[in-house]
Amino acid sequence: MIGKLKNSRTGKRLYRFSRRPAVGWPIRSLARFLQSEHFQPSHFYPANRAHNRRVSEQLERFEAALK
Amino acid sequence: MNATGPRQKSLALVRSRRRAEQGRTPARRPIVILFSDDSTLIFARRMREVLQAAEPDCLVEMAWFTDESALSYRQITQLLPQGPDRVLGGKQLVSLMRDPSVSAIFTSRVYRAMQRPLNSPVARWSGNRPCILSFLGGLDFFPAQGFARRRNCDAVYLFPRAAIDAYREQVGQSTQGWQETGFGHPSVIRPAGPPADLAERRDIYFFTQALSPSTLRGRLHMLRVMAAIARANPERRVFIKLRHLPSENRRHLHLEKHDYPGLMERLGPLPSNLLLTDITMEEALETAALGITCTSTAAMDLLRAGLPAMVYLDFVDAYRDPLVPPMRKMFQGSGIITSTEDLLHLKPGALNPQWLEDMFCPDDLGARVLKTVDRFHARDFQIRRG
Repeated sequence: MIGKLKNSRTGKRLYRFSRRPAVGWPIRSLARFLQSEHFQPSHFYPANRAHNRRVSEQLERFEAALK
Repeated sequence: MNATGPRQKSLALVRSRRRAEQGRTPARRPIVILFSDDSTLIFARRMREVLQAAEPDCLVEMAWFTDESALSYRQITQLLPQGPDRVLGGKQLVSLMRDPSVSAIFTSRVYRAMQRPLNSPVARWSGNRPCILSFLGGLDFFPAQGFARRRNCDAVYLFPRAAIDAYREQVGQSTQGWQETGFGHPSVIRPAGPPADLAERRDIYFFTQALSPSTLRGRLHMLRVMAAIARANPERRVFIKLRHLPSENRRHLHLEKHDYPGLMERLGPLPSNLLLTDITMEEALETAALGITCTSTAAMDLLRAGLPAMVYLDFVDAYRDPLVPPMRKMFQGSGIITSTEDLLHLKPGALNPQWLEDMFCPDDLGARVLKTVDRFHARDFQIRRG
């Protein structure tokens, strides 16, 4: 989706606008936020959350056994 | 004056024998191997070894292509202390591709400067020029683009075995001219067996990568796993082998967002047997008892050295890593994809020999590529000028 936007005319206009020193910062901040790791939708999928939980629990159990 | 006396006759005989000898074996011409970064330099070193093992007299020159260089002083000093034999910019590389005094140019990357001469039919069909033989850059999960870049090379060597059919299917008739495809890469030569001292070895290596795991949480998870393994095995050393130092390779194809030395500082006190190292892969393989990696070609290096390897793809945020699905596909059936439990308890899986045969080429790679070069120079149609 972001790839398509980048190649579109609107995307290019937005990019040029975001490069303006005085007024471009809100767009740059929004882009940074949307691309940040925490915002990625895949982190919220139940299967992925279950995967992370399972792996972390396995590691925690192993670490606890070492103590 | 005619040769009449016995001395003149024997001299004439020696000269005629020398001429016949020269006719049979043309003057030896060098094979030039290109490199521009650490990956391509490792390829170049291994290719040189393979060629010299196949033919000890083979002249091999290491050529540093500087237009796309991403080598630090430390890396080139470590990997090629004697320095390159040639240093080439784009124009010199194009001239080299026409140089009749060079037998072949071997490369694991088809550089931008090479594309134009390769795509020109006149240049491609010309005689008295080196054979351009390209290998894959390494384990290539998405080879379609790499195949397209190599379609006008004189010879293309690929792996795994299935990649040859995939290449032929993709390139088909779009290449015009003599071309030979072969199986192999100097980094994937079938192992002779485990090292003799494997039972005495104690060191565990985690081979890191710039791209994988891609998230901060994933990298911290890997560090915690390594720390836990180190705590559980205080008599063993656990090395985190860095591909490059945080300050290096800022122009590398694969840029590292979260470097391990920085992350280690964030984790707090770590066991004293958890160590960072920047030694070369060859040095690491000399002492490693076991290697761990996520989606790296290091798994191939470990197997090539006959060492137990664990490919770990279940790290935290693995679903965010675009390299995990192709790595899983490529190593499916290998037996070395490891679960978290097996990783923590250091239980590597048994390697499947059939998978190994399809992935790793026989050790006659050097002889086969030299024959390819001979066949290229003896090909039927060649434009000869001058």
